[in-house]
Amino acid sequence: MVDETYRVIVDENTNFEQGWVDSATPNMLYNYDQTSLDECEEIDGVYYATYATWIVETERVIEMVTANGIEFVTIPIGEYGKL
Amino acid sequence: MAEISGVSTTDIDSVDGFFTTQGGSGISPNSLPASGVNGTLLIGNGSIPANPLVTLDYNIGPTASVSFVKIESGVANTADSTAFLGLTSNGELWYNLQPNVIWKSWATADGTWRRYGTDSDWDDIAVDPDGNCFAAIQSGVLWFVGYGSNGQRGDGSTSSSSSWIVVNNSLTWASVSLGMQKIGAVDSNGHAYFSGRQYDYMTGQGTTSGTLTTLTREQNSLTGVTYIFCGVYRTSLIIASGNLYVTGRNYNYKGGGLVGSGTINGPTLGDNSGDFVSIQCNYWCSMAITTTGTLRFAGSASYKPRPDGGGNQSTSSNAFDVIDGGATGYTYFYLGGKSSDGQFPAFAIKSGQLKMGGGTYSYGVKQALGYPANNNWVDVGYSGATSAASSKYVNAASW
Repeated sequence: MVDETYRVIVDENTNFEQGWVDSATPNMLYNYDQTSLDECEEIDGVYYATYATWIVETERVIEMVTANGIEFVTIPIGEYGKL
Repeated sequence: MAEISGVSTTDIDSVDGFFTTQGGSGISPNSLPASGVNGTLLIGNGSIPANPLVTLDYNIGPTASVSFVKIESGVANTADSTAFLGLTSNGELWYNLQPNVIWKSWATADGTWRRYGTDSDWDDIAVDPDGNCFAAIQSGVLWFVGYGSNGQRGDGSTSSSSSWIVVNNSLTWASVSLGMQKIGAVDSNGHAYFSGRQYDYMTGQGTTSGTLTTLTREQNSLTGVTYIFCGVYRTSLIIASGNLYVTGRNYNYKGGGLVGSGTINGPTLGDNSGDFVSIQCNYWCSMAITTTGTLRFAGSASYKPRPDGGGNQSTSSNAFDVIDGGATGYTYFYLGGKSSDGQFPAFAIKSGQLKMGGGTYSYGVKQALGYPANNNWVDVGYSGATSAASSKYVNAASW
């Protein structure tokens, strides 16, 4: 199982702490590998951050704890967390 | 307006278990160590007689003897950001926060041991090794305070909280562990759940991507879990039915020799000895206590974490062999460490005797105790020990 890594342009307005969600994986938040612009690669004034998506190769059923108890979520084969 | 248990946070004192001020349990120390001094010694509490080995100022806590069955510690950067939680055998929650702990508004952060509120139904405690957050279980309910961006709340939110909040009461929780940017918790059914950053599969969810924000367990995964340890780095260890499972980094086979020494994707059987009761690990090694009170060790012994002074057990064939000649009587072991550091002393309790050794002398804790620089293990000098903890600059012990 290999996660896919992507490289994207970021700038001073990028919130590195916030992350983003994929509705198919409600128990997860996806993040940049970097925590600030200073950690990003800079080429000719353009900053690049990286992040990894989740590649699900066989269907998975995860069990997550919610305020109402256990909730089962089926995650089909696919790639999740891609911007 | 924010609410907890249906009560406005402005009236938080009305919520069972919550007190914005302490109920007269604050302790006046005999002497306060200089804040921020590297090597400052904080003696946890209890009846501490004159100890010729203690050469630095120390901070005796309560006027009456209190013994912890568990102490957890974390530190952000310097000694004045060190935080401790303590749990007594009768369910009292105690804390000791240095002034520069960030998430401290729920407490009086003056470097003294204080009891939190008056409730006596606390079940378990955990402190993030970096001192960023705290977790506790009270009558089966999971509480949290501190930095939330790493997903350690486990309730779907990444918000930080400066006061204790209930993060889950839909299950009955039995134990909790905070590790580097992750949390693990075991419910009363013996199921283990993780939340937090997923570096190197350390949350056991099949990916290294992103952050778990909700306590999660894959369906059909482990049952019969009795112990979980999230570790100070990218390793998580689980004990189920006396056997050890590892997810994340298994360098030096510190999660067992039945799997490779690389990165393990999801909880995998690492040792099937069947007698594991509890376990601690740092970046370099692991130490486990067995049902017969012996010690099992795996990993690198470079920082002398072994009370018997032995060497490495970092091959697949000797990981978690019983050490110390099979001596029994071990009831507690604390391996210091943070990230890749191994410089902090380890503590063991053997037949009630507190022992300390290992680590690097230059980090001050051993200097504070007046020990020689050879890192060899010594008896601290008291019997009746119940708990001990060490962080980067400060240690605490309880008798």
